[in-house]
Amino acid sequence: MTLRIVILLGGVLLTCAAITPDIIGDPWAPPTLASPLGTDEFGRNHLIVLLSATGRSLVLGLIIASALIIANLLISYFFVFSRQRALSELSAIGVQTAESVPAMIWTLVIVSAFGGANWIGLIVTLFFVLTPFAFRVISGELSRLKQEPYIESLQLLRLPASRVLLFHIVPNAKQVLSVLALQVTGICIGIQGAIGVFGFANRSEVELGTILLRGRENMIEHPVIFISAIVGFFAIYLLLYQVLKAISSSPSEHSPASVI
Amino acid sequence: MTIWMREISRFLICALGAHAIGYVVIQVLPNPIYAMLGMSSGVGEISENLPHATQTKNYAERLLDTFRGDLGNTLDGVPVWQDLSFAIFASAPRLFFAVLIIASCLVAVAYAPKRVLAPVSNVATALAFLPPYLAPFLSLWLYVAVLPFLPTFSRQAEEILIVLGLAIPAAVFLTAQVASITIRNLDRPFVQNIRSLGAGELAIRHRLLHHVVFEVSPSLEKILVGLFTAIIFAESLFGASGIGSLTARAIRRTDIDLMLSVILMSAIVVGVLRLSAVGIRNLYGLKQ
Repeated sequence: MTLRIVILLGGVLLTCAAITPDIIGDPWAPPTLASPLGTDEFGRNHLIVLLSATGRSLVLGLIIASALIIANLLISYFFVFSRQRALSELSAIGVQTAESVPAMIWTLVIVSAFGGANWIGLIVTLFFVLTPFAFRVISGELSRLKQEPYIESLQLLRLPASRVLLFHIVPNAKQVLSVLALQVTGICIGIQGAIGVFGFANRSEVELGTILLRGRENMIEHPVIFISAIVGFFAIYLLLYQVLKAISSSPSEHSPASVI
Repeated sequence: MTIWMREISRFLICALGAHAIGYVVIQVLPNPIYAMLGMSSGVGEISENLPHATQTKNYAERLLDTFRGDLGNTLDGVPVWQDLSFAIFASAPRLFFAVLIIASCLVAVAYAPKRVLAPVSNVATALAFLPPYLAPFLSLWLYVAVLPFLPTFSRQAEEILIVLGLAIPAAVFLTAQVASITIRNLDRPFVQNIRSLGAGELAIRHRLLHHVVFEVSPSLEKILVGLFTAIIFAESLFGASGIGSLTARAIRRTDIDLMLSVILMSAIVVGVLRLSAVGIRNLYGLKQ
């Protein structure tokens, strides 16, 4: 029942992501039947802005999280199963070096290098900044799975790497990958607001982080903007939490017998 | 001894590596002249002539100067070590109290009744999904809303709210972690054994606190990085001087010497915490 509600909510949000909110009246107009949350500082229907922003943030977060996890799964597989100790030591040092400095500093430096918050710059930044974190989590899980007897038997059977990764490693690592996807999506959703604090964001952007930022600036006179942005964050969290819980709780164990 | 040699060499490689990556990234930033004169002023001879008027150093010279203890000068001509030490002294009390709050959360969750651990873990996990700048936002809102009623304590109120703003994100992260570790440990066979042997709940929790510290120790660097991230937001939003606002200023103005020094300082502190985590794990007998 909960999962059905969540899927329905996800469908509504994804549909709303395609809507571009138009200016419908004066800035900060009071709530009406047509716009139950009133209008924002640009005169846009705030409810539509919120739904569209939540949908877009969800889509952006999921795309970046999926791409990041797939890329890091491949890189981690190469490093963990390469059987070269020097290579894994090198990757560990590389990750530790990148993580020696807070990701926020790297983010601000790269966004500043790209001359502001354009989407390409932002996606490159998120990839650069989140890769060490994702690599560490995924390679840790892959190292654990590498010790499992059924993976050892698969290696002895000389099965193709792609098959081992796709059918035997990913299904068994999905619990860790789900948590990672949730964390990465959260970071991706909040990033526009984070760089906006330092003046790099476009204020009219229809995205949850930016709405949160604008909500902070108008918190006393118009608290609805801020509160609704937090509600948007929680809606995405609940949606992803339920979906990922359903995915990670499905059976996935692979015994050596089933493999052979 | 071998472990320490390995960890110390890793520490040095990471600190110098972060410094070098920082330098490479900074090289693709806009010309510092734009930061000094404004983006629209970068035309004609001013942008061509000014680089020759200012002293420029390559990376080897910068690194050599850093080893000599010369961190360079800020765009205002002030020695970086002077600005940095002032900022560290301004932020140190805030960081100290934030660490106290975080440690209190760890102890409170480690000794919390079993029935509340699962809800605490769920709530903390949900809160950890929210962006780290939300806590400073809420602190600022509270400050603006409460300040008119507290004219006498405005300065103290500001400091308290900055500390809360920077402690909450890391505390939430740690609370979620400690709650899930404690839930798992309470169901372990050895806990059931010592309980059946007559150990009281307090004694069990005291024993489990060691397990929690042991398991959480690799996350020390994450907590510090979380604190550092939060302090950049908290101090910048409140306009308070300190290491966070200095970092934000260095990035906004493309102050190369200052940025490299902040990156190096961060890498050194994170490295020291990594070494502490190794020390804690060795203390509990885990050979790495």
